[in-house]
Amino acid sequence: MTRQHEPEQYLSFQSGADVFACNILQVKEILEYHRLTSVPQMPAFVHGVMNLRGTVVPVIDLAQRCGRPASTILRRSCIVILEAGQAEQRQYIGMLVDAVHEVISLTADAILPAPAFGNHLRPDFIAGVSHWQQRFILLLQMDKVLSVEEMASLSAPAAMQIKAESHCLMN
Amino acid sequence: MSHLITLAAEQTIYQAQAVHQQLAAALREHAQLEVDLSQIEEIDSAGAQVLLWLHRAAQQQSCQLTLSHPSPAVRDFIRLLGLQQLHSALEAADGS
Amino acid sequence: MDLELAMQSFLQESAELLDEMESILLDAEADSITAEQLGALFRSMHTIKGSAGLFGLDEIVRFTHQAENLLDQLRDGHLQLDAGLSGVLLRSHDHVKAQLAAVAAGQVIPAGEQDSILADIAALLQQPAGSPCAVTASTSSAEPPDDSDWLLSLRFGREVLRNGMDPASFVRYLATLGQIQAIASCCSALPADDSFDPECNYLRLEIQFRGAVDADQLAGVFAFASEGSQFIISPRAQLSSHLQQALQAGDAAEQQSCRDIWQQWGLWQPAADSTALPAAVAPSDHKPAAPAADSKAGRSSESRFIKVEAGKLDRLINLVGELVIAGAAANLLARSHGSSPLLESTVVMAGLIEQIRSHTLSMRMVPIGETFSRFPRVVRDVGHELGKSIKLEISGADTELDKTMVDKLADPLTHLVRNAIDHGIEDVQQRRAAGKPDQGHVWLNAYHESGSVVIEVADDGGGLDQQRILAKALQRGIISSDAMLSEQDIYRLIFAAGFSTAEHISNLSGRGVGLDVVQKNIEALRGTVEIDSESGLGTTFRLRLPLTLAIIDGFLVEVGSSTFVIPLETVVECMELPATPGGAGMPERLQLRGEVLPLLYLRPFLELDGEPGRRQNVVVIQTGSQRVGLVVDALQGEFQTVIKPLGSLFRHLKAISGSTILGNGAVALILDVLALIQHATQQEAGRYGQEQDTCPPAGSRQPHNNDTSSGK
Repeated sequence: MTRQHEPEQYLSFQSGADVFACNILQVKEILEYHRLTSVPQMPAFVHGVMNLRGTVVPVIDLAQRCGRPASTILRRSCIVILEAGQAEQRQYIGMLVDAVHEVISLTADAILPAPAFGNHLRPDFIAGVSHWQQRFILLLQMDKVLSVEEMASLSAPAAMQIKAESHCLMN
Repeated sequence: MSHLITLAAEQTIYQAQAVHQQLAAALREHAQLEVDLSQIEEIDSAGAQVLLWLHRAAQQQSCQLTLSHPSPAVRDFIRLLGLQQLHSALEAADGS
Repeated sequence: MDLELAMQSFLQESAELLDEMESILLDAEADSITAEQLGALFRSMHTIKGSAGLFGLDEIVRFTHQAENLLDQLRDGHLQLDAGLSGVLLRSHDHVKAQLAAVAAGQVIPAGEQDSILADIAALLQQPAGSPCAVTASTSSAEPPDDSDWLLSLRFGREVLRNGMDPASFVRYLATLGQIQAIASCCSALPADDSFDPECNYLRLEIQFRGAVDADQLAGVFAFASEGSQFIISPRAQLSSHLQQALQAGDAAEQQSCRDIWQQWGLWQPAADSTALPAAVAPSDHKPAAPAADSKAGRSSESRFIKVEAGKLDRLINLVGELVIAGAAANLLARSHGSSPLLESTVVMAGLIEQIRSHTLSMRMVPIGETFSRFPRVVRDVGHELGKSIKLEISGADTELDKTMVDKLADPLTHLVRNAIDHGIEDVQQRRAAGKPDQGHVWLNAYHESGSVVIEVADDGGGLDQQRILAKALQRGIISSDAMLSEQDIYRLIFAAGFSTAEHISNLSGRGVGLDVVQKNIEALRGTVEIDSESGLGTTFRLRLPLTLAIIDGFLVEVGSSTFVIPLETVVECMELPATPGGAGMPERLQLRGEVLPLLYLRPFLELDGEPGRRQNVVVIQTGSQRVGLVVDALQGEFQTVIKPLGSLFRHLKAISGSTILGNGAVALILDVLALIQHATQQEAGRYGQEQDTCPPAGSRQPHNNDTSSGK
């Protein structure tokens, strides 16, 4: 199988202390950070919504989504726009990261399965691990990280435990 | 002595203007006019109207007009649109 | 792919034709049917037959052909639209609908009751003699029903030749549809002098035609002829009106040469009075000019509408939204440059953009009547089934709301109407005993009210029986025996899953769907259901739906660093929050002109950061009869913009109904006023209950206690 040796391109980026990467094919564009509109009553990892040329796009804070402290907005903070969701409900989602590094080429044999522990990250978020400039890179399983289904269910009233009384009217 | 004009193969809206002018000039210059329709392979409403006009204008200007030897294309078109005036003009020519 | 598209449009077009057919049939039961309606009935089956043939749907072709024959006889006056015929046609309608549904679902076309309908059609076709209109039927019914005779008077416009069209082409095409029995050109308009323009058309054609076509098909032949053309097309039977009409156009010479032609054909006989009707006038020719005029009117109403794929409209609306924002940005720029001519031109542009937007958005709005129009049938069928005589009255059918909303309302409304007939309206004995007319009334009503669309389904039945509802709810374990419920709460119990007050389970309620589904559907549209009921007088279900359209007239408010949009229609007034007498704290309600106004503080409610400023403002919002004051930091004024959906990630949000993009490009969230008011009134009722200590907190399975209805 020669295809295994054909490198695929990944976009690498920084979030907190970690370097992550995702397949470049999922990335639509990279934007400088600009102020977002925060949405109340949503889990903390939903950083807000932004106007992407007329479409309102949710922006997820990758750090918080991965269970880490909230990102601090710095000069190099970026929003990576990705396409997420299943075929019929594909939508753009923004991902807030601390910095975007570069596009790297990885062959399949350079990608190793994630070690069972020590990642401090939900196992289903990890597609594999690799190395880049002597650094450890976590390849993200974007379908899971940006699963609209799961994220929406996390913001359901029960999960959020917000004033249950306001929702029992019609039950 | 009747002046003879043979109309070309195509008598459609593309030629109507020119043919009209040619026939108008002939009408002015000749008291007797014969128009040969035998070469006409294609005719449309515009072409037929020129013939209708010629027929009426000749009557008005007392020009003796003969429309002769209508080709099958002409006969078909007259039948298609029920152009009675042309039909009778041709019959008159046949009869003479 | 293309075939797939073609199939889709065939199915959609057929569905529309069937709907039209149904509404005509239901309409015509009471009133006499017009020629136009007869034509439309015939056309529906005829068109479906034709298109089905293209797709090789032979079953449908075979069936619709018979139905078409029946309609042809009806149209020609050989049959009369009585209850029997109407019934057969409705069954035919249902059958074709079922056939098409099977096609759409990719299933085998069901036989259904096809054979019995076909037998009924055959029976009706065989005995047309009994109908009083069949004066001239004897001769024409002997002919194949498909062929009909037509008279055509065609005055082509002067410009047709120059526009690349030749009357001869139309005639050739016409000849493919049937037989041209006679044709004559009238060229009296053709000048013999120099004014003759060889590229102008002077021909007028008179034609006698026979073919298996209808008026629309014939008109369609000439549809492409340019303006200035005038075509009069009539069935041969309407000779006199045809000739009269045909004579109206043209000068005396033209009229005379037409008369000559008709005389040659034996259609017209010269009389002392030149305007006298031809001798050949048929006695049944009692509708002068109707068919020609009808077919013209029909055509023009068809061409008044263009079908556009919804997605295209959405993209257009998005682009217009972008244009608005770009326009606002240009205006800001012009302002900062201080160039007044530039500023002026951006203002002019902004005005135009505004017009474009409001027109674009209005394209999404459709009258609710489209949905209402199915109900005469529902009422008729359900009434028949239950043996109840029901009169349906519809009002507000022209109330407009968003297309997507209209589509989603059909099911819940159907359910409520069925429910009203089944459970609401008593049977005749009970009605008589109560001194009511035998015939029950059901009302469907729609109107706009403070930014919402309200749809009412009302009946004049027995009303909801509170005791019976309570008993049933107890029995089903829906409430506990110590529950204290307001009137509204009791009514709401009928929306609980698995609740049915009917003593017997009728065929209709046996569909496994309860009113709880209605409730869910309406809630999914962010609407509410209210119930008014008066014992012995009837029940009204009132659906209140937000105008969740693509556009919103918004009122901007600020809380901390966030901007929110409140639908302007719901805003009653604004004021500064008066300082509390004690100095500190947040008053829970406000005395406003003698009324108590519950307050909802947006900052804590939405869990927003920051401390409230010294001055806070109250925006009084209202839906229905309920008013609430929203406490915000600052008021920014009115703003009109395009609603952007927030996407499924935010589907659980209760207080936010959508988002919008402000002039500076930032996103602002739109507050869901219905949800906020519900929350506030419940909160208020809860407090009230605690203070009065009469209304214990609601049990876990019981609806929330809502005291507002008793406070009205």
